[in-house]
Parts: sequence; structure tokens; C-alpha cells
Amino acid sequence: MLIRTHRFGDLDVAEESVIHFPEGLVGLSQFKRFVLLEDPESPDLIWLQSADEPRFVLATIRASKLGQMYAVEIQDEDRKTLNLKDPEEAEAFVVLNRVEGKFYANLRGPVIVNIAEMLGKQIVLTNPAYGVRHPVDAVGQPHLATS
Amino acid sequence: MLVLSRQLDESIMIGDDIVITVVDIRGDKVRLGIAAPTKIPVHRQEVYELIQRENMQAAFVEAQQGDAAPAPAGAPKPAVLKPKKKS
Repeated sequence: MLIRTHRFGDLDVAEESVIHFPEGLVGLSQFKRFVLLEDPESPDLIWLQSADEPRFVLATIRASKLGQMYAVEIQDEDRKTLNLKDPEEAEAFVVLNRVEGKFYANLRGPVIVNIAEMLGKQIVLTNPAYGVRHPVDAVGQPHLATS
Repeated sequence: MLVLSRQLDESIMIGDDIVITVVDIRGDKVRLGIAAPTKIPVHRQEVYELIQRENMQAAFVEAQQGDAAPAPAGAPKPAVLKPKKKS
């Protein structure tokens, strides 16, 4: 199927690569179908692109890039939405934001994708230590406070 | 806004399947138990609104960047993440 994107132009994407978000994103329930696009220039950068709105795109990195200090705990109700039976099938992505030239990561609301069933959900972690605007040095070089 | 008085262990029902129970009252802190179908997400309002705002701001910034530098013809295309089927 053809997906129109503002950033990369028109892309021909296999139907099976479209990820369904039954609830949309937090506060943005109108967007329910996305694709994940690996940036051709920055290897760690992955774009969460709406399949329906060319201009709606979020920059993300894999949560694993943040190292051991960042733990994503998936609650039972999220597991159900994602139809997640095997934890191996879950891939977590952290949304990046750019404010006045600096990069920040939203640690509190990671996007989880069941990579076998292509179901997605943005979950809300309960750990209050995870902020929605955590500074990262640059894409692919996140620095988590060690204290 | 409907305002109801409830005592400890009393509940209110919203619709047929959402029950909110006063679990604990200590000083100015009230603990609420919420039983709702899994299809209804329940969040603390302030956290939910913060994440919503970050999503919108991040998407807006990317849309603005796209305006500044639209994808030129012949630019490298991204690889699409494919599903991993169980073998």
C-alpha cells in the first residue's frame, strides 16, 4: 500500500508492516495506523509515521539504547491491548522531542509494539522517576543520570 | 459537575462497568480503587496530559522541520520495520 509522508515522500509499504494502535497514542486517539521507518542516515533513529496523516510523525529510539537503567514494565491491561503472550515479541520505543535545539526523551510514555502481531500502544509507566522530558545528548547517545 | 459524598469503602458507578471505591482516607489524601474494563485506559490526569502535550509538541516540531527541508527527489528512502513471525 502507498503511504504518503511529508519527510520521505511516498512510500510503498507492505500491508503486514502497518502497525495498528487500537487506542491511538495518549491524547491522540485519532491516529490508529502507523509504520516504523528506520532513518537512512541516523542508524538509531526510527520514525513512527502515521499511515493516514503525512505530517504526523514522531522521532523515536529503541528503549534498549537507554541501557539497563531504563526498565519498561508492561501492565496486564496493556498486555491485553497488545495481545502480548511472549515478552520476546514486545519492542519498546521512546519518543524524542526537540526543544530549542536540544533533544529530550519521553521516558514516561514509551510506545510498545507487539512485533509478531503488529499491534501498538503508548503505555504510561507508573514509575515517577521517569520524566516526560529527559535530556539526551544526541540521537543514539542518550545519557541517563546515574545518580 | 456532579458532586457526591462517599465514606470509606463506599463506591460510585459510572455506566454499567466502571466502579470507583474509596479505599483509604488519610488527612488530605484519598486513595481510590478503580475497576474498569481493560479497554478503558485509566491514568492520573496530570501524567496523561503531560504525555499528550509532549506527543503533540514533538509531532509539531517534526512537521515544522519537514517544512524547512522537504524530502528531495532521489533522497534515500527509509527501511520499513517488518513483523517478526514466529518460526
